[in-house]
Amino acid sequence: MGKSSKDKRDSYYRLAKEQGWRARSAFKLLQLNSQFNLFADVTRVVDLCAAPGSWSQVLSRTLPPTSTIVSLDLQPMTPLPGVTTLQADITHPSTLPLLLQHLGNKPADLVISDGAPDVTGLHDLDEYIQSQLLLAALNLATCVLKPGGGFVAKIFRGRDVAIVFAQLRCLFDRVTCAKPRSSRGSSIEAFVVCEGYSPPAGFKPSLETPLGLGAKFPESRRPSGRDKEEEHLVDGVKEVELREAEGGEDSDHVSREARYIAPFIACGDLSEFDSDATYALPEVDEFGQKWKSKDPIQPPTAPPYKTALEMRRQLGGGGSGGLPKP
Amino acid sequence: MLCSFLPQLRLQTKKWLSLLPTMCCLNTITLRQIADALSSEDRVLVAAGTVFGEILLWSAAIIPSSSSPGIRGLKNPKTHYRLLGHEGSIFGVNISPKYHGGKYYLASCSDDRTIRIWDISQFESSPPISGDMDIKKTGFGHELVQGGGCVSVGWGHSARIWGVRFLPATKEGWVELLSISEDLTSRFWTFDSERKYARDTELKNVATYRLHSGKHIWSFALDFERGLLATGGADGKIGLVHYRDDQESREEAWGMDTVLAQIGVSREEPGEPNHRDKKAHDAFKEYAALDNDRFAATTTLGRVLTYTLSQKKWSILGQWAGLSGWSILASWGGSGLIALGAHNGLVGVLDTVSGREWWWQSMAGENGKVAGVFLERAGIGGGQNYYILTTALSPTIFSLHSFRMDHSKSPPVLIDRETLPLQSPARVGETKFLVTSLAINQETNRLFLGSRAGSLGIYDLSSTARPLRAFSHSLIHPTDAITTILPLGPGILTTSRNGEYSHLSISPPPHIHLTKTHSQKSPLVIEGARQSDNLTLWGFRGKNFTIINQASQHEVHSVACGGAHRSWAHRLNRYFVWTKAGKAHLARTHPCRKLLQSGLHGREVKSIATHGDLIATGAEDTLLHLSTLSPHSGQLCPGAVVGTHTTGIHALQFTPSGRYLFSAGGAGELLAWRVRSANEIVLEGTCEGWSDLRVEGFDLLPVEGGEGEEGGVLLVVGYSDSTIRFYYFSPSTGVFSLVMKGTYRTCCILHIKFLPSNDGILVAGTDGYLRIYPLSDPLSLASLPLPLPLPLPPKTIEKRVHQSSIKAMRVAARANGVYVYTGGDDCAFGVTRIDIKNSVAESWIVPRAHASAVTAVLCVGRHVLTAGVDQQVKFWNVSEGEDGITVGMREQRESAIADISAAETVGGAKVVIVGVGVDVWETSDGL
Repeated sequence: MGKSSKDKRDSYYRLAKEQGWRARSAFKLLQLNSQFNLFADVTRVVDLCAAPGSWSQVLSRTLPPTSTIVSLDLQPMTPLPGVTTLQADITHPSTLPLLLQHLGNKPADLVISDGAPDVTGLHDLDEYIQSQLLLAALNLATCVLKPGGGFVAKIFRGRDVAIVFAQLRCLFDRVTCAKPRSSRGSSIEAFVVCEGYSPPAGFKPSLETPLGLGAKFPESRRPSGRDKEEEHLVDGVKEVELREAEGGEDSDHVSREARYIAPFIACGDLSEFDSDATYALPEVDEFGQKWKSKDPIQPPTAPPYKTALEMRRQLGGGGSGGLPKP
Repeated sequence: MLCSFLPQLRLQTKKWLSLLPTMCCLNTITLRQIADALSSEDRVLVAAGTVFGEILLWSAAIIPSSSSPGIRGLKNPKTHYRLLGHEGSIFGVNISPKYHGGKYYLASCSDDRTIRIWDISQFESSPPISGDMDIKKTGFGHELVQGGGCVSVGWGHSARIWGVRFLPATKEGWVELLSISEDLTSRFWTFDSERKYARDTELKNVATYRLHSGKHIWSFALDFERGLLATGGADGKIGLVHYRDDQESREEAWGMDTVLAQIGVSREEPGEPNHRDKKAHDAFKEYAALDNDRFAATTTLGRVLTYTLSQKKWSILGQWAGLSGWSILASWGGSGLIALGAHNGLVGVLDTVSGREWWWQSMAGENGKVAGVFLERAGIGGGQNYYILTTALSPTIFSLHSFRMDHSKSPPVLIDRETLPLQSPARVGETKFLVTSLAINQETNRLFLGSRAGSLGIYDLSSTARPLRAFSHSLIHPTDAITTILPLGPGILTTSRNGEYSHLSISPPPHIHLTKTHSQKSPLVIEGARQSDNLTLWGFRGKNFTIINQASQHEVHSVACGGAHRSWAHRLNRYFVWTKAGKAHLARTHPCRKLLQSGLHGREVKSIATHGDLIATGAEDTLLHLSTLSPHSGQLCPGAVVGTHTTGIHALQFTPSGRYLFSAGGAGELLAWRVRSANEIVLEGTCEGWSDLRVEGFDLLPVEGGEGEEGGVLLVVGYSDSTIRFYYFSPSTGVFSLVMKGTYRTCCILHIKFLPSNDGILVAGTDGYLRIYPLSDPLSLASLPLPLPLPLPPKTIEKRVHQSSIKAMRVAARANGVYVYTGGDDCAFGVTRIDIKNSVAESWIVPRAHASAVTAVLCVGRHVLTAGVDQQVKFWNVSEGEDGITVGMREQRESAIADISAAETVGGAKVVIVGVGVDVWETSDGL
């Protein structure tokens, strides 16, 4: 497949290159913002797991220049105008004073995190690690968020996602599961948008005893089970009144108490590109020149197995084991 | 295990608190109680790797639990080493047992595809490292190495290495390890610990086993006493290796000098003064397996040798001038007889037991080389007929020699020798028929010849015509040699060097017709096959000679012999002998590997189609599996596996008769298969494809009265660029013809269905809409002569039901309209009633029906089943009234299948759910 094949199969990949975003994920935040108006009245924002920095780029381009934007990652990140980049561990206690210092010792209005682990292919494990990463981000968020503040994070909509939703609802007024059109439909990824930070009385955030590991989640003040929330239905369809289960067996009644299915909302207009579709490439670019496939803004980081690849190449492709690739 | 252990550690060892959350949960922690000689308190030694490629080795004193055995807590922690060197996340660590000289080692494996060995013997006396390590030093690009030296590095795995384990010491100074990987292999490694810390001492990969398919070996277990390794893969298979037996039977190799010295002849050619100065060297020419314990070999100077494995002894049967410079050798396994072809046109039979020999002219008037010798035998015991087919260099006539052995004499003598001339099946002007294989079915009196160009000739041995002429000649394996022909009942099995093997049925006379009933590709250059309970194939794969169990698709044995271009002989389950760099090599091939449990796909299953008890599944591993559901156990019984697709298979469907199966997926691939049973599948046609496109959904309609007995099939196919194409598939020609084409919108099409009354198609995509295009008479499309495809008529109904992708869709005709049941990426379950006549659609939605995308919808009687990525399976009562519909959830269950992609009914009352694995559900109370 040629260089432009990926441009055809992934229009957001092509657009990111053409609009100067470091990664296609920038469109996910833009589409989330167009739905939730996340950046209204926001002056202090924290971007966690920020590298390579496409979400920070969105903040940098969208927020007024007077805003404070602090980006954290364990990996070094190319600097961005108006963004303070820190190389730090979001779970380490020493990170908190560092972060507060850069926020001018004032609480943040919004904490966002697009962090994800390298997936292994073992679904239970990948979903667990993603939820642990989300909890780590949440834990730091609780230490810096102002009451009423917002939290947006990547989530894997897998087996136990309803437990994570229930935990988040203990701390926020409104929890919504959102999927931007720029996130592939075939991917398990979605975003949890938490609005109105309101920790219960007596809740003390801490990095020493983080939530989920060591500290218990506070009791939710919100009624358990389904409540009358606004459903995001498309025009012209009727919501079905669900009849109660007719004496059917509920195999797992106790654990359902701790679960909550957050309302779902698809973000991004249908007129925008479909991340699952294949598109014909434009014939001319914005300057009327013949369209050419562009190189990515930031080259992909060298994989950890770079040396192994080089050795394999030297050995003539077969490797020392003499087996062809599976 | 680790997850439950972490909180406990955190409470007790505050100082490392900061390090723990950065540890990937994958990292193995090895706990080992060691008696601390200095403090005499029980301490636990812990090795843990981090996602940043560091390994921490620390210990702490154990606070025993007062009430029950076990640990209440840990105290007095000490960090001994922070080991740096890996370039990627650590996925596994293991602390060795105590080796010779009181040595302890740590092994680690990583994303960087290496295994590293660290000497940690001195950990107790090493100065402890501060617990307050600067956290900003995390991440890659470490500058310092603290303590512990990396003594050895192993390279070889081609993907992530998930686990590593030391074996107990067997030989002084030798350290042995096992590793498992994403690359489907488990590998054994050794290194010589006596070597004095030579830098970059490479770990030697001594054995590699591949019993799984798809991706990943996730788990393993070792039984050191019996030398057993069991591995578990993402494919659900459990493989078993007798690793000690396997690795102890090492290769043997001989140079010609060694062999000649052993049998007591000089390597110089006696009595040929012209060659005396040149010292003509003898060399191995050809091999033939005699029985389980003996093989024969010819040499370039015309010697015939035998080797007895149990006695490790070479013997010489003699030396023949006619075999000097050119010889062909073959044997009838187990008979003690070998056949020889000489350069002077003579063919010989040699009894390797008695040493008696019989020679005759291979063909009247032929004094040139015997180019080929192919053997067969038929009958049993004393009545056994032996056959030799000989060919000359430029063959239009072959000679079939037959004889019997008179065992009443001692030693036995060759009797009743006859020669029958056979006309080559190739006509004048056609490619020469160069024989590569022979088979005789005595019951049907048929003789089969395979050629280098892949064609098959069949002769009737009862015919009296001379020379005998082939009554059938057809191309079976285009362009590559047929290497084996096995008579199987009334049909045959053929194998080819192109990697394909086929089952052929032969219709009875007078109108003899060959039908390929099954055809499958293997990863081998197939050289031979045996059909017993299972089909076993052998041949070359890269630089290895490999034996594969085709039923369970696993490697039974693999010998690194250097590649295909060499002389070799093979006795199944016993040995493989070959020439490499002038030497004769021998490797035992006793079966040391088997599958304890068969499996299915090694990656996510994306599609399923069923017909009665027959199940077809397609997956991201690009394979198409056929299986049947056992009515008793509810288990899937594996059938054929075909790997023709080049990318994931996302859609599958049988024709209503079950005779044809269509499969589609990435690269716009759409293939037609003829299916006769779970073990019989043949590719019948390939539709045009496009590398940038995917097919996520298609539907089909059988067209009666088409050409041939089968009738044709009309297909409607949806592509990722929003195009809709109608194809007519003709089974008699295997051709897909484009008959109608249109574009939906710009979004990716996920589902497409003919309406129940065939008067239109229903399309659903990533935009959440249902859309109907009317068709007045779709079946007429099959009979139209079309210079250009027709345009798609304009849509009549358009109704948005979901916020985004419609992940699952089913259509049912009910009394008051057509009902469409949908599952959305928006977690909702939708019911849409369509009045086609009046172009009206009405939709009802159950929001938050699942906690994730609803990826499977199935009508089970009057009920609807949904399943989603949240691994919930829900059963709904849907009542359709005139005013609207009511929905109640009847039952909810949890599935073990992650990433559920589809569900289908099988065998009437059961439901199969596919994703990362397969679930079979039984619906109760006569629904």
